[in-house]
Amino acid sequence: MKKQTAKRLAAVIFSIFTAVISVTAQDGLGIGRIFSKYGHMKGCKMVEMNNTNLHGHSLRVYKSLTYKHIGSNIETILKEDRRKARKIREVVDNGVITSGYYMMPALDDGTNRYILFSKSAYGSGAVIYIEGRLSPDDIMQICYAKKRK
Amino acid sequence: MKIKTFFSLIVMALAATNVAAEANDTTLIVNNRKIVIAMDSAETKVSVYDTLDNKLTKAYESTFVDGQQVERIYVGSPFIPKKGNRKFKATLPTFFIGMNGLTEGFANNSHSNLQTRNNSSWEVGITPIVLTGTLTKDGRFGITGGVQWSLAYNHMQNGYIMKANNVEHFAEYPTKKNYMRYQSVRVPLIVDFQTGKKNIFYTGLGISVEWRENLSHKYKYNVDDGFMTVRNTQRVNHWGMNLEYHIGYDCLQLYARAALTPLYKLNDGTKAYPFAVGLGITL
Repeated sequence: MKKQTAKRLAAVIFSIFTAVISVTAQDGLGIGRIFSKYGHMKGCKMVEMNNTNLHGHSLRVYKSLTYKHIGSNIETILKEDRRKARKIREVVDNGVITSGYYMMPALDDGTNRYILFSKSAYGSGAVIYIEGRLSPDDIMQICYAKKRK
Repeated sequence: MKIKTFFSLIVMALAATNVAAEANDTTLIVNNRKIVIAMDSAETKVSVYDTLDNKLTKAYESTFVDGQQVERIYVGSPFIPKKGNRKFKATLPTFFIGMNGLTEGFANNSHSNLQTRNNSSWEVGITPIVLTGTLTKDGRFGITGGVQWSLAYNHMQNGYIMKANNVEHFAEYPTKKNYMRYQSVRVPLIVDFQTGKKNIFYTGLGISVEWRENLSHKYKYNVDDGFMTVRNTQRVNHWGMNLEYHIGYDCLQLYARAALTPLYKLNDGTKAYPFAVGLGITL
C-alpha cells in the first residue's frame, strides 16, 4: 500500500516537474511570447499537449498556434529565434519563405527544441513549438511525409 | 599501378585547384545539376541549381556561418510563371427557381395595362450544358456560357384574360387559374469575376438569347354549371434577348434577368417585357 502511494506521489511529482520544465523551456524564446500574447486572441487557435505522441514520435511538449491577419507581428518575433537557431530549414516559394523550421539549442538534458512555421496569404499562418528527442529528419518526416491512408 | 594512381590524384587535385582559382568558387556539374560551393572567411555556401525550361533555377542552398546551418529549398522562382493557377469555375446554376413577371418596359416597373399578377408568377429551369473560358491568367475573370431550359408561368389579375393579344375584363364571371405559360431555351454568355480558393465568391454580368415556344394563355371561368377551361394561343416574339446578372457563393447564387426585347405586344401597343429574380443551385 505504501509502495503504491509512493509510486503515485513520484508520478505526480514527475509530471509537475516536466510540466514546469516545458513551461520554462520556451520562456526564453520569442515563440513563448507569441503563445502568451496571441494564444487567447480572437482569430487565433492554440493547442497545447504535454507528453504526447505524434506520428509515432514521443514529444514532451507540443504547442501550436494558428492565426489570421497578424503574420507580420509573428514574423518579427520569430526573427529573434532565427538568430539563435542552430539549424534553419526554409522552403522558398516564388521568392517568399513559406514554411520551415528552426532547430534551437538543445536543453541541458539533451532534449531538442524545434520551432515550425507556415505562412499563408493575408497574414495568416501557423507556428508550432516541439520539444522531444526527435532528430531533424524526424521533423521532416512529420512535416512532409505523405499521410498513410 | 601505384604510380598511375598517384599521378591521377595529382591531376585531379590540380584540376580542382584550377576551377576554384578561376571562378573563386568551386562548380560541379552532376546529372544536369550545377553545384556551386562558395567559401569566404565568414561563411560557406553550397547552392544547387536545376535546369528548368533551359534556365538554371536555384533548387537548394545551404549556408554555414558562425556555427549556424541555414538550408533553403526553392520550390518556385519569381521569374518562372507558376503553372496550375486557380481554375475558373462554371457559374450557371444546375437548377433555378424564381419569380418571373411582366412589365411594360425594360427597367420599368409598370404593369397596369398588362393586368399581370407578378408576385404570383414564377419560373423554374435547368442548365444541362455549361461551357467556360478563362480570360485572365490568374483565373479570376472568365466567360461562362451554356444552354438553359425554363418554364415560366405569368399569372394575370383575377377577372382579366388575354384573348388574341387583347386584355379583356370578365366583369360578370370570376376567373380561376388564369395564367400564360411558355417554355424557353436560352443561351447565356456571362463575364464573371471569381475570388476565393475553396469556396468561391463570384459575380457576373452578361446577355442571353432565347427562343420561346408553346406560349399559351389558359384560364378557367365560372359558368352556371361549374368552371370552363379555355386555352388561347397568342402572337409572341419567339426570339428574345435578355440582360443577365448573378452573384453567388459556393453552390448558391442569386440571379436577375431583364428582357431587352418584348415577349409580346398588345393590340393597343403595350409591350410586355419579362423579368426574373431567383435562386439557383450548382451541383
